[in-house]
Amino acid sequence: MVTLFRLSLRQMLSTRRLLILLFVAMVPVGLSVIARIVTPEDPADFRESVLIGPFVIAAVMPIVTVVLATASLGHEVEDRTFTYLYLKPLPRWQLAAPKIVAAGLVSAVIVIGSGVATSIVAPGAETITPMAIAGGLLVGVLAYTSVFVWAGIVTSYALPIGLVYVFLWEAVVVGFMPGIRWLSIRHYTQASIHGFDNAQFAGDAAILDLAQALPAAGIVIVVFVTLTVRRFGRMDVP
Amino acid sequence: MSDVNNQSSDPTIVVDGVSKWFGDVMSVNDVSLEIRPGLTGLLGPNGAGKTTLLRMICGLARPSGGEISVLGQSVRNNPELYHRLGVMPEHQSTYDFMTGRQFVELNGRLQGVPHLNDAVDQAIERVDMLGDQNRKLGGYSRGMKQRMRLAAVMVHDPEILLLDEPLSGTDPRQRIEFQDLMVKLASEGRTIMISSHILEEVEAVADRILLLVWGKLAASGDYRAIRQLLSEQPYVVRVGASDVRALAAGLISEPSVESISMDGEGHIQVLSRRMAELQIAIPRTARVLGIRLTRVDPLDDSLESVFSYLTRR
Repeated sequence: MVTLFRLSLRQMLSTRRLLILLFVAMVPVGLSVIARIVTPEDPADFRESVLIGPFVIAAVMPIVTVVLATASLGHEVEDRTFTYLYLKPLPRWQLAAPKIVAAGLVSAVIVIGSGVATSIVAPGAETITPMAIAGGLLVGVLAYTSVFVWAGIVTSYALPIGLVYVFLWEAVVVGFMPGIRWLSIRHYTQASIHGFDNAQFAGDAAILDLAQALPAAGIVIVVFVTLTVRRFGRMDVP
Repeated sequence: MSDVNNQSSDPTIVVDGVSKWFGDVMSVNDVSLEIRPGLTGLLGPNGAGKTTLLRMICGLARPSGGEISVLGQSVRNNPELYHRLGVMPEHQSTYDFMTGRQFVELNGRLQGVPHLNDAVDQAIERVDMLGDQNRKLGGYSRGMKQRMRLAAVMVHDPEILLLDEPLSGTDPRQRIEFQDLMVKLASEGRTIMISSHILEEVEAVADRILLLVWGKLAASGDYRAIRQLLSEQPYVVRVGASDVRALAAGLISEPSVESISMDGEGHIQVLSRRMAELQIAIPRTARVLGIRLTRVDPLDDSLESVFSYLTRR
């Protein structure tokens, strides 16, 4: 497992893709620096409803995680290097786990780094906020990773499907129909941040409870990790 | 199917009525065969289903019908079996950012090979790549990459080797070395299966040849018997000359000629099962009759036509 984990990390850390994702992650940090200089009228609201909500949670987290998760196994399958791993005497979960953990770890470092840096640099931050944001983002990153690692081996269109899910389903459809926020990882993230720090997203009447969001995210993670491992037993490896 | 040879040892691979469909296309059609220790060549033209059959044997693809067992076990969803199996896929993809040695090490580590460094040294030495082992795979020639992939396949010293077009991209010297290595490995009791679309590549080393054509097993057996079958195939040669009618009249009495016909372009088409004799008879007859030959083209001599002849038998 350690060998595959190191291989996966090396694949992720040696690409230009990572530099682009780091740039995306720096955008809200840069905006918070600007906000610090020009100081908006309501710093707390600006931090939550402009920087953390729309940028970190709705853009940086899904973009970074979906790109890395779909690539972690999906690119191995497309490049046909997956056969070298598949033809080894390892339980199938030991093929999936290092890939998922590596994608989750790299995504978490980038996304949580971006979120925490944004909340620290932005004006009006309180001590608990960065910790709450880090905890909430970790929940979101793990859930997105488990879903889109699976998607990466099921379809070669995982990345566009992931972006449609993020920017059409979560951003538009769930916005119009709050009743289906159960099917939105973004809402698990916001609910977790709110649960860890009640001051965050306090104005969102439709937000889920932490006691609902955490089990829901846990179910998503368990179900999709299981589906990924099962998929190895059923797929034709190219 | 023509079965021209039987072997006595127990089969290590048994393929029983296996078919594979891709949508409406049948890639492998009800193939049954047994592979025993020694070197077996899987021969067939491109698109015959060789790669699909090999992929099913090693568990990369699921048969649409039929059953496959390797060493008495089902290979699908049985990763433990990969301790005893070495597979070299047809595609040349590798982790190009790794050195050749790192790639072999990775495969050895994932196989749980004890004394990894020694095993890696031995595998790389066997393919004569010690001198280039620390270069990046991305900078290797196709032949070098093939050899390092072979080292990676052999690093855990498997009982069964399934090699899909392993000689692709290798030069003549590497080809001979590879063939020598395969003969040596087979003589140690291993089961080795090599696919190729070139008969000459496998007949020099294979104890037994399987001919796959359009997804069906057309013939199997000793390569000499397969050669004999191939030599019995009728060939057609198109001949152009300054006086084709006179040439046809001269050739018709040759024992190597079965029949002669005119085509619509002023050439004659000569049917023969004895190509070697015909190759001598045509210029000799032309010289005797004072006729100038303008073209001599063998028609229908592709592997596809050879195999299709075998399937019609």
